[in-house]
Amino acid sequence: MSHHYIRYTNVHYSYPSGQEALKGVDLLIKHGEKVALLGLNGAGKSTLLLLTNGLLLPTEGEVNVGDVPVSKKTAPMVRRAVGMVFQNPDDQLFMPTVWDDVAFGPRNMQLPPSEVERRVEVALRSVGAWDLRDRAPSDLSGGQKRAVAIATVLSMEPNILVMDEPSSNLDSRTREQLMAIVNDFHHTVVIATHDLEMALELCPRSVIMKDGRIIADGLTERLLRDQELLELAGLSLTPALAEYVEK
Amino acid sequence: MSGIDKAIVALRELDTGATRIAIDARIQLIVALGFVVVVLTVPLTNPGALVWMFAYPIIMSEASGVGYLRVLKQSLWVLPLIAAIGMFNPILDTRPVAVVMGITLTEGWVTFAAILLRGLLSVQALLVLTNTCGFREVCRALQRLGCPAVLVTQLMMLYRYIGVLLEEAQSMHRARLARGFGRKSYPLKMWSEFVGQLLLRSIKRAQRVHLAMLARGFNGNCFIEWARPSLHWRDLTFLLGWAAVIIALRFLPINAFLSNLISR
Amino acid sequence: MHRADALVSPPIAAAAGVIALTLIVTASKEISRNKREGMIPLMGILGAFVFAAQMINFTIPGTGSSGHIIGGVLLGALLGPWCAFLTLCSVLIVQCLVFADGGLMALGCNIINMAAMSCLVAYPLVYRPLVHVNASNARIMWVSILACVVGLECGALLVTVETVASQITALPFGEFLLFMLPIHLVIGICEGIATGLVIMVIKHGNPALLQYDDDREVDPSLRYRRRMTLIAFGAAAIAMGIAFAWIASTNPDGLEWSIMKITGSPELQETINPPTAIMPDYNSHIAGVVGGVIVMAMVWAISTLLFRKKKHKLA
Repeated sequence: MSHHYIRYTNVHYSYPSGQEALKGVDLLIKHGEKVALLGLNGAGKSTLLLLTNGLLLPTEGEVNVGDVPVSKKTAPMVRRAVGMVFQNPDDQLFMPTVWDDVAFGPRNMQLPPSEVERRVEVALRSVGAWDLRDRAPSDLSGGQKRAVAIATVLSMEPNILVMDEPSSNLDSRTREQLMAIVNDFHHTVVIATHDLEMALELCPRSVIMKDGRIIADGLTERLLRDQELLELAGLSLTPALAEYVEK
Repeated sequence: MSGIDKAIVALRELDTGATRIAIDARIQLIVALGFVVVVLTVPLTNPGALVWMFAYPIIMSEASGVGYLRVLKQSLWVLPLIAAIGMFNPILDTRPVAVVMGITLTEGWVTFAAILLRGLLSVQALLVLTNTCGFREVCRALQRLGCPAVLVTQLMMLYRYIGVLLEEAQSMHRARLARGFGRKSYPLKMWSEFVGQLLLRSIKRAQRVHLAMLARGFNGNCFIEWARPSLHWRDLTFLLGWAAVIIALRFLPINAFLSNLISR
Repeated sequence: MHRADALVSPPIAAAAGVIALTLIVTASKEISRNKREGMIPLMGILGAFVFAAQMINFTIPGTGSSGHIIGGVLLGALLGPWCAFLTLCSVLIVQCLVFADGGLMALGCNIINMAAMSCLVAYPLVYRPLVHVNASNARIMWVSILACVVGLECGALLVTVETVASQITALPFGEFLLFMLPIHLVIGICEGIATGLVIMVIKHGNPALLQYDDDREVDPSLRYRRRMTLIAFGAAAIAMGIAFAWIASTNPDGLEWSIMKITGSPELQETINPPTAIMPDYNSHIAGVVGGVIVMAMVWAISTLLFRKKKHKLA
């Protein structure tokens, strides 16, 4: 997997309940790109991320990570390459201490203890949470939880980072910290969000989804200027952002 | 519903409030367990011997900085529970055993007092243990002492999510209060809707947690693995010291000695 | 329903502890053997759910008092007997360790009385054979009530046996039982109605969650499992019996005392010393007790001062 592109070819996905979440998605994300997935809740963003990680498998079509088609068999391998940060850190942090949680991934990869320790330290330092290592997730603040949740994924040293609504429920300071972390990550990043400001700041490229389909794909700056498109996708600019875009 | 608030506070205190003492949790667990066993061997006809046993919770809670007052307060709630069963003794067992200041003391009352003291002691021993070790350390100790990994993992997961779910239940309850529901307990129909919704939400959360685990390579292996740190000399001193003190308090006739001293 | 430490004697506590531990180890092995570790997040969170649900009281119709569920049969319906048992055990352990509910010595008794009786007896022997995937609401309701009553009455019976065998209460076995069983019948009916209603909510909201039963019916190891459950309980009963016999033989005074309570026989009463003979001894004893209380107060005061000082130094 030398070239960490992600390719979705005519991807369909229906949930067991019969709800059709993706209705034919074609998309190529190249290595090192930072891409925002924009759209309302239920547009299919989260489903697309779960498919990238092999946590769901397409009912039709194919997802490729690098040269590897994502299947039940390749899923464990794919999950090492694709780190997924979930929307709610409380769902991601299930271990008794921060340290144990960040070590969970490397331990499952059956790395030697010294390597696990090294990775945990590197990951926690990179999100500025090394001092929190002995704390329990339940006594962390929202921003700290988010930072640690990202560290749990970074410790697996993924080549692709996918994040689901990473900026929800964050105050402005921790939001900035989050952006710094993402900026420091030199591989591919895919962020599903409806935080347009963050998309503009972090991701040169944006993909807009609606009802399980991609309705636009291009430079974030250009897409955010297209009032008609944003209205169609159900997205709206904050006043500050509108002012910025007009300039 | 104040029960939920109280439980949340208790959890927080346990996580952050307690001062730890630097003794291996295994040893503390063994001492606490041994203490409770010794307490239970004191015959019910001899509540006097039980009074001496309070030395353990008092010294431990003060030494760890928890404070005995807090332990005492937390332990008092067991009294009505124990009294409910023990109350038959004074009623049924009316043999007089002593006359104190003109009041005849029956054996029933003596055993009743002993039952209450026993209850307080064993609960206090437990409170001291969790307050000085913290729940996670107790879990680790359990695993090192050979508890099945599945159970220990289960305990950790449970402990991790109690706070999360209590807060969820609390916010659901508050939403109901805001809509004018003012009673303390729910009519059955409403209760089942409330609890059913909480259950459905909990299951959805469990599914998301499971996904998050799978995303990080969870393959069904139990993942709690801790190193086994060796015991220090201070751990052994602690164990032997308390063993000696507890056994002395239990078996030396301190009461008789003291009353001789007083009557002389 | 929680048993408190004060109400069990060491041999009973030890016997119950051994049985509870055996059941826990068996459950853990069952879970690993059937590769059900995928259930761990569900078990952990449902444990936390039971914990939270126990804090939410419902009004018991017609009485004005309120109650909460134990949740064993409900967990059984969602997780199957062994996972449910382990989940409920973990709830009891946390209640014991974190909230000092019950007690360390009574933990084994509590696990047997509450978790094992509901998850390993009432659920597999009553609920599962009687409720199928397409069961009507009415059927779910009456089977839930039946299962909960069976679970709680078995528990109440064991509580009585344990307490009487521990020789704590002066109340004789028969009367104690007459006191316990009707109370737990009422509690069981309430728990059953509550459980039935919640299962209906789940059936309405997401019926797939209850299809656990369906999968299990096909499982060929089901029978083996049921037999294992029965064997475990047979062993439990025998161990209890041995413990009881052991106490009776090593502590004849205590047994005599309780026999006298039950029969009121004057022959046995004669063997006990006349009250006057005990009195002086007890008077000195009381002096000792007063002395003990004073000394303990001093211990508290001294240790407070001692350790406060130490902390100041550290700070």
